[in-house]
Amino acid sequence: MSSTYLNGRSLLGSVLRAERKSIIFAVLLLSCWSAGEALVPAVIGATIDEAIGSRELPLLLLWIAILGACFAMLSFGYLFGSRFGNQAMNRQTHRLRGLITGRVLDPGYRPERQRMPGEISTIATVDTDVASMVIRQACLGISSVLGLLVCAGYLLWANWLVGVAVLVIAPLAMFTLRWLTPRLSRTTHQMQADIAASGAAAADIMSGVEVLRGIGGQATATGWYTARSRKATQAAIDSASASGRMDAAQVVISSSVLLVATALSAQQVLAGNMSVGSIVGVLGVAAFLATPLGMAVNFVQAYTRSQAAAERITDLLAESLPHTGTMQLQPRSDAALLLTLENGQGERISLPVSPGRFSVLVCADPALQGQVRDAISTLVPGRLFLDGTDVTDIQREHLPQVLRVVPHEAVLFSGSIAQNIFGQDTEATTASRELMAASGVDQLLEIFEDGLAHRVEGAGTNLSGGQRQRVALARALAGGPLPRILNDPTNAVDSVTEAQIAAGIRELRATGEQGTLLVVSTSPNLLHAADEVIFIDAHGSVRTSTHQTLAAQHDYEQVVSR
Amino acid sequence: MSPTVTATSVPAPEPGNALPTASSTQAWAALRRGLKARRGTLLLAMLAALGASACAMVAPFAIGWLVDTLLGDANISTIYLLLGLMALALLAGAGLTWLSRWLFAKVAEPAVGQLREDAVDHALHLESGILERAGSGELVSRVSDDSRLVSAAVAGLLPTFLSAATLLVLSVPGLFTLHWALGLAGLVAIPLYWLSLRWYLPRSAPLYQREREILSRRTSLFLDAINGRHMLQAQGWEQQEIGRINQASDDSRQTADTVFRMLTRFFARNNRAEFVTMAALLATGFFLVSGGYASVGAVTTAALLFHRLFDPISEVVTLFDMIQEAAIALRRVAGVLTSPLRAPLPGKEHQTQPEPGLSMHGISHSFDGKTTVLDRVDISVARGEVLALVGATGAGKTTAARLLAGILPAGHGEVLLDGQPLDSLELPILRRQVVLASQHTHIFAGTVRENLTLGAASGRITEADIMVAIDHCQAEWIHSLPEGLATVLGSDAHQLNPHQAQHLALVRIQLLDPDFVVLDEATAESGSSNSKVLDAAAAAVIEERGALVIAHRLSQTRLADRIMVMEHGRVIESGTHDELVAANGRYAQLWEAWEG
Repeated sequence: MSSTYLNGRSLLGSVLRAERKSIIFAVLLLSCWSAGEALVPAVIGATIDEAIGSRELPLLLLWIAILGACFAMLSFGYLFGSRFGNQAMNRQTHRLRGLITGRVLDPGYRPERQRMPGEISTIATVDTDVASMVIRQACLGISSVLGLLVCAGYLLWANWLVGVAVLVIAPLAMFTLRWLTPRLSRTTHQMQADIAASGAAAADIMSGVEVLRGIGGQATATGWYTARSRKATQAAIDSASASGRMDAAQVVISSSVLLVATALSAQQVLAGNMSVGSIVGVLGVAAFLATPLGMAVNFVQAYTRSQAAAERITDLLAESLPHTGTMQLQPRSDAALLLTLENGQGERISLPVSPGRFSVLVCADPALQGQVRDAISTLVPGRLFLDGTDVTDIQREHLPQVLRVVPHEAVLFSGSIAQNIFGQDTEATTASRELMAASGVDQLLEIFEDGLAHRVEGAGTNLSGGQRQRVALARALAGGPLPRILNDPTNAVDSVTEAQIAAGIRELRATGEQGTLLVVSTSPNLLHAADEVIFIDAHGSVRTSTHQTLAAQHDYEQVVSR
Repeated sequence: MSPTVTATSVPAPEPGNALPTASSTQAWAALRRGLKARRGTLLLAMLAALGASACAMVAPFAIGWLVDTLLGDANISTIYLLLGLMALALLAGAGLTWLSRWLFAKVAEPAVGQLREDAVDHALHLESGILERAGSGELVSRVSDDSRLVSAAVAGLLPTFLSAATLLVLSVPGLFTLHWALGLAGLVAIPLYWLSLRWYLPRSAPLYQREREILSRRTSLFLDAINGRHMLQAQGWEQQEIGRINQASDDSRQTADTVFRMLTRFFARNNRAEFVTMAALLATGFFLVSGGYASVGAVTTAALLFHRLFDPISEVVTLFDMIQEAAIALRRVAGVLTSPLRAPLPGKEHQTQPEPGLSMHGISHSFDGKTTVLDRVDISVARGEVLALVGATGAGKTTAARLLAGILPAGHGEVLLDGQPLDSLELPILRRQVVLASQHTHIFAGTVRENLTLGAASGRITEADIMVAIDHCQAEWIHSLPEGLATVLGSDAHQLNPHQAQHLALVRIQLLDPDFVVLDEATAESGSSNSKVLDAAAAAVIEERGALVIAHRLSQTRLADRIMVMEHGRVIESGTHDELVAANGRYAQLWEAWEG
């Protein structure tokens, strides 16, 4: 479907290649910024030296103009350069998100191991961000080179001895700090983990507030939370102390560089090799040197992180079985269905579903029951046939037009009831009376003042399980003539409503807007309403008859009695 | 850069919320309680921070003197003295920096910790009804997300802000000690940065808000689609859903671009402020040196002082909206603390004939003041009696159950336990006698044992009690969990299926051993295969107790001593199963439907 990437590197490569032009522009402009930042302290030093020391007004005006030019260069360089880079980054993040969305919603997407929705969402949100950050790091890293060159040039020009000393010591100081950082701030991660854990504990406790209120568990829960929170507090204090040490180390190391530069400069001024004002420039440039150095070194670190993120993205994108089905069938509402199972002895059990009729499947054997549910929840070859064609041979995008296999979970979306039944693009305000009665939604519409426009919040959390199931049933039955398979569609609905639904389905079918219907259920109401019942007994033998006839048989009665 | 900026540009709290947002004053008061006890440490932390900043200023001054010395007599011992002074200040500054961070954390962290602990405790004991109006999501977000934001701000933002701010505070008098004219030139920066902030803050807050909204919309669309992908594929809707998600993704891309554009313009304004102030300092220095009012060294010091402020100022300025955000979060957390708690009402004097058992009399109830949910309902449950409540969705069963358990306050009419109004009982006393379990289960992150003994006073329950309760409720599967009772449960640990979760809730009630049990669809999860286990557990739990049972599975309700049928907020039938079936009324209809 979409382009595939071998690994994280090739994904990052594609990200960088796609934004080649933007990156070049960004690097050119950011180089101006970097050079400008480096020049500002040098120009300040020169102003003190040349203008203030000499007390000549035209020189002052000249140097202030030069200072203004430096500021203009750094300011505009950053303004436009960083925008170019950032927009490129956001474009790529968007592209990667799109790739992931397309892949995980593709019917062919079959992850080898089950991923939690939260995990996929983290990859689509965080990892795409981190992967595209390679653009920002590339822009800053490359542009920092010019900044470094300007710094080095100025230092060597001001005084070669001081220059060489600073250029040797400054990188050494930075690497020392980097070496120290993980040793001094190890607890910071622990603190973040502890704060996150106490936040999660609070969320956990508050999500269970209904349960706590019912049993009076508030005091115990408060105790739990307090223990976690105290731990987070102690961790935060330890961590503050650790980052305090880190800050102190930073002060010592970075100031030492300046101290050495000051001492050497003083010596060189005394020796007559350097002007006094240059001290200001040298110290300013030496202090600034850490910035471009850091950007250059960061690039390596950040690239590793981006690559790890890109690796996770490519792993997700690769998790897909090619769907080989290519057939397209003529839509036929009264198509014949055939389900095949295998009993413990490896023998095939065929379950033909009569074309155009309403059949309910009841299974007394738990293992076979599991096979039935598997066969209709994940489409695997050799299990389900439509008019003699294995459904996995049918083109996946085409399948919904010829057969609707409805999953058991009543998943709802945020949106109106109508949108949940007829699709997000609908603005339906009315629906056929028969459809509403056949799903029990008619009762809900009496409760909701705004009827079909009633909002379903947060994936249906404002509806009860039974209410969600009814909306899902309406969705399954909507959409006109089509063969359908439904899996236990009424187990969360009360029996009165279930009886009404069973009668409603018969009425809806009488309008001719339906088709072959296979329902897996043990509800007496649905069994009673069905045209025929397919019963698999505990030995794997199949009996097809009506509910009334089968009800006289003891083993059937055992399974369906409540 | 006065703190009033924070107060004036805070957006108004969203209206129509049952939980208030505290005013800035109230929020401060909530924090101050924790700070007050550690006033001495706080003072020391402030002094250490000021000392560290003072040390940081030694270098520019020393270099200024160095310049003057080099231009003047070039006395070598003065030069050594100055270099030694710089070295000393460097070491002292490092020590004080560490000390102030540590002391500040010792003050602030426990104060914030206290605040978040109070917030959770308070949220769990809110006056009945507030939670229903506010929604538990709102409470979760305040107690979890907002308090996390405050904690993170205190740990991460405030130290940076503090050290930058003290440096700023000391730099201004520093410039004035060099020469008053240099001080005045430095003050030029204040209105310039002020203007820059005035431009930025009103723009940033709504933009960040929009960015967050779009992000959360994008995420929830994406999560919904993943959760429902089988359904989308069955319906053939996945392409339109992909389109919608990509649209949201593109919206968030555009907003991110807009946010960044605004940020870069803000930075450019700060650059302008830097240039103008630096030029003013240099020009002033030029005239001072020309007129002989100040030395070249003094001007050098001034320029160095201000150049060193570039980074701290831009840090402070960019931290502003994060601090603003943390302040709003603080007000939201403090808002929970200002909401009223459930307090027992004064009990009535002895009634003439206290009626034993749990009962409600003439209860009418409405959530919005318009739609009547319950209409003059009388229900009573004697000790040892099982009463089943039956009826269609929306009949008012759940509301009746929650009122009878004392979770909702009785507005009109009264709910009595042995003649005492429930509202007059202390919560621990009430819950020792009346306990409710609904279809909404929640598995708390913790061990099975912790989840089971959650409601009882700790220490009262022994291991043997737990074994007996598990046995009684036929929940032997608990023993076969990976580590039995010590198995850690929760969303990122061992997960129970909904059926097991309901079973666990029933064992928990058995352990609590109350006189009255209210079960509101507490066995709704029973699929056809397992229904018998949960039903049996529920039967075991209500054995020898007074019980109100709501269940749509009539196989469970038929075993009750008495059955009440509700419709549109009224009780329309009452009697035993056989009586009601014989009466051929609404219940008989329900029963017929159930039997199929």
